[in-house]
Amino acid sequence: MRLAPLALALSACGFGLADDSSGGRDDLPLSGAGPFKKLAFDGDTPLEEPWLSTDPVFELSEPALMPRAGGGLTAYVTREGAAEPAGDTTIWRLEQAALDQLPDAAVEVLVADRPWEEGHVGAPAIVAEGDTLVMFYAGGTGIGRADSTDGGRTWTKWPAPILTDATSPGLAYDGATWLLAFVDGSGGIGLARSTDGHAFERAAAPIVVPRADDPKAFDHAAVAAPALGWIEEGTGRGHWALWYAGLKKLPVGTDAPLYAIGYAASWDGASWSLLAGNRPVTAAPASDPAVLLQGNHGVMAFAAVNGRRRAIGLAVTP
Amino acid sequence: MRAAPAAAPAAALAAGLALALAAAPAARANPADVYGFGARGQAMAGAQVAGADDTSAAYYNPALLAASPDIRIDVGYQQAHPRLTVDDRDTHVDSSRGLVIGLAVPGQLLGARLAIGAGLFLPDQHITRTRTLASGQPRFQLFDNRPQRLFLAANLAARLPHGIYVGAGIAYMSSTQGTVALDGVVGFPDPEVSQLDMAIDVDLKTIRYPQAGVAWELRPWLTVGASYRGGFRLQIDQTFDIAGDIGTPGFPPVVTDGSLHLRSQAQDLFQPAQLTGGAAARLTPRWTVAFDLAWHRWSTFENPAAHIELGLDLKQFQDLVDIPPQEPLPLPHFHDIAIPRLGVEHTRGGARWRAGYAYEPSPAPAQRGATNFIDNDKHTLALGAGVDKAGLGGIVLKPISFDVALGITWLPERTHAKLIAADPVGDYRSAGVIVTGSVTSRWRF
Repeated sequence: MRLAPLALALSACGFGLADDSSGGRDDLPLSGAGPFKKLAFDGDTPLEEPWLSTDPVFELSEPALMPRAGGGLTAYVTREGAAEPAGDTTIWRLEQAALDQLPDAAVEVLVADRPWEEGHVGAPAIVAEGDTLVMFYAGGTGIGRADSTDGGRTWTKWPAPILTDATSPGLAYDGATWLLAFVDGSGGIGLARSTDGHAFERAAAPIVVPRADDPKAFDHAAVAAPALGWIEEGTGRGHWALWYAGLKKLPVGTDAPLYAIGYAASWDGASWSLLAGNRPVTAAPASDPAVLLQGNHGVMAFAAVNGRRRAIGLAVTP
Repeated sequence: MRAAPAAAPAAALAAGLALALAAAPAARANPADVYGFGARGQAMAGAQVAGADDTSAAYYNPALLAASPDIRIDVGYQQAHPRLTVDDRDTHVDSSRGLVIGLAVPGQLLGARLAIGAGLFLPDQHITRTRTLASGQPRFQLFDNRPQRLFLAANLAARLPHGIYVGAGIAYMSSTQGTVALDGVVGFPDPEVSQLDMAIDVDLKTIRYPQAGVAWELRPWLTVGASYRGGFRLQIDQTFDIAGDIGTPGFPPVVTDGSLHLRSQAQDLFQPAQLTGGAAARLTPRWTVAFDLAWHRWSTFENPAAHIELGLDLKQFQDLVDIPPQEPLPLPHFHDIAIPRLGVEHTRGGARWRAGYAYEPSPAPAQRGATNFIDNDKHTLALGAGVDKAGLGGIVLKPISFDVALGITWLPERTHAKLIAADPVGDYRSAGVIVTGSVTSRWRF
């Protein structure tokens, strides 16, 4: 009991057991709606934030993201060289160990070598099916499929396109159902569904269209470049997530279109709701979204003009 | 109010903003509402409206301050360490800890015993903490700012005939109303050449709310009591004005008489009105049982997020600016709750052993829409002990009491399933545990 007054006196002087700053905001849940903030430039890192990959010669666009073994991310991007015929593209792969680190040198992983691809492959969308990585890619006027069993280093193409008269695939798989979002001539973002990953049935109507009746909406003039994801939430319930590029105004003359990135979601893949508030989740200029959610953190890769060429940038949430 | 001379505008602006922000108001309700007041009350799970026998009556029931003929000074320290989780991840809600001091001084007036008393919880982390979050930002609403503030109450109590005690008092808070105004030339295109006079007008107003209590010694072994604690909410009104020309000093302005007006109105420091009734029964010389039932009027809780009023006058350039109107704040739809508390005290061998249980249902609905005011039901189990030691010779003649309490509050898991798939936060589960501890020394003269 003799220690009691001492303990009391010490505690009364403010010698607590812990020291805190304002808390209560760590590790909060994440739905995919961001907002995703572009990496701010940091002179202490080798990365030229927000750019993950930028090149003075090549146009880089249409990224896909996958988790990298050992941490970080693996990005697959569409690359168009100045020396090649205009529109000819290939898909390259690069790894980044951490968000503030430079990526490893990019490696070419997919080239256009099938007649139906008409000289270009691009817009990769990748999901894991067991130990196999499945890539859907745009080629010619269709969407093809390639599989990889070595972590994405080499790919084996399927002989024929999975979907024709469609491009810019976005792909998600919940373990039973495959959803494939795409852009076609309808002006909106279309959707096809499959239970086996190769026989897809198109929905009758697009799932997202430009908000033509709202001139202030960020996607008033056009929607494009869908990316899909399946997000399982803390309650065990999951939802389909869709990120897409939205254009408020059509560009004038040779101006580059000023896209921002929006978000929509669905419980069942059939009925979709847009994020409330008519606001994008990533501010313009940003297009071609690809999202990697890990725990309560998310990374988005996007394409935007850096100098004279399109480059791949990164944004994060929270 | 003071006016600053023309000075480095960035520094003036920063100072103004810092003052305006620093003067923002404190937290919601008070830490005693959340974790109790003093070791004995905490050990009996707060069942004290008829059973408080020390200066903690300044919080639980001011009438009982007149129950003792002794001058009392209680000094203690209490801590609470929450581990509140969302989807099994710790959100790192701040702990709460601070000094607890109580004072009761009895006297006689016209043959009746009067007593004045005061209670103070003085946190050693934040005297007060404020933050106004967007209503969509997930937070444990009842544990965010609520325990992070000072509590101060002053009371007057009287013992009336027939074993009746009455008491009333006021508790203090502070609110803020302020304006930061800058007038002059806003540099364009180089903001560093701005020449602005700054005026700051900030009032830290005292806010008082009432508390009152009554107790009746119905039988020598039975006391019943009731207390009322007023509810309140603070209106926080902060304004930031810039008026003047835009351009380079010494040259014709690009914009003449432009202005920016930003007004933030929010509510904070919400405390529900509370009505508590209870009884304390000394069933045997060794056993005392106390029971309280409290009603907390949470249905008047309003969305605490800020209403932002933004006005911008750029004259001929006004058409280039499009400021969307703020969307209406969603209603929180809290409801009133009833909280039962049960406490037991057993005297044995010169020591007093205590235990208590309280159940506090959540006033918040499951967060299925745009708000994320997370809260769960709460089960609190507490234990405690106290001993008396001989006084300190000629200084303190009466025994000094030392009391300790240890409590654990369990927040069973709750699921918040959103109505729309494109919800910015999505579904989540909330749960948690809070460990509380308290030591008090009680001195009588």
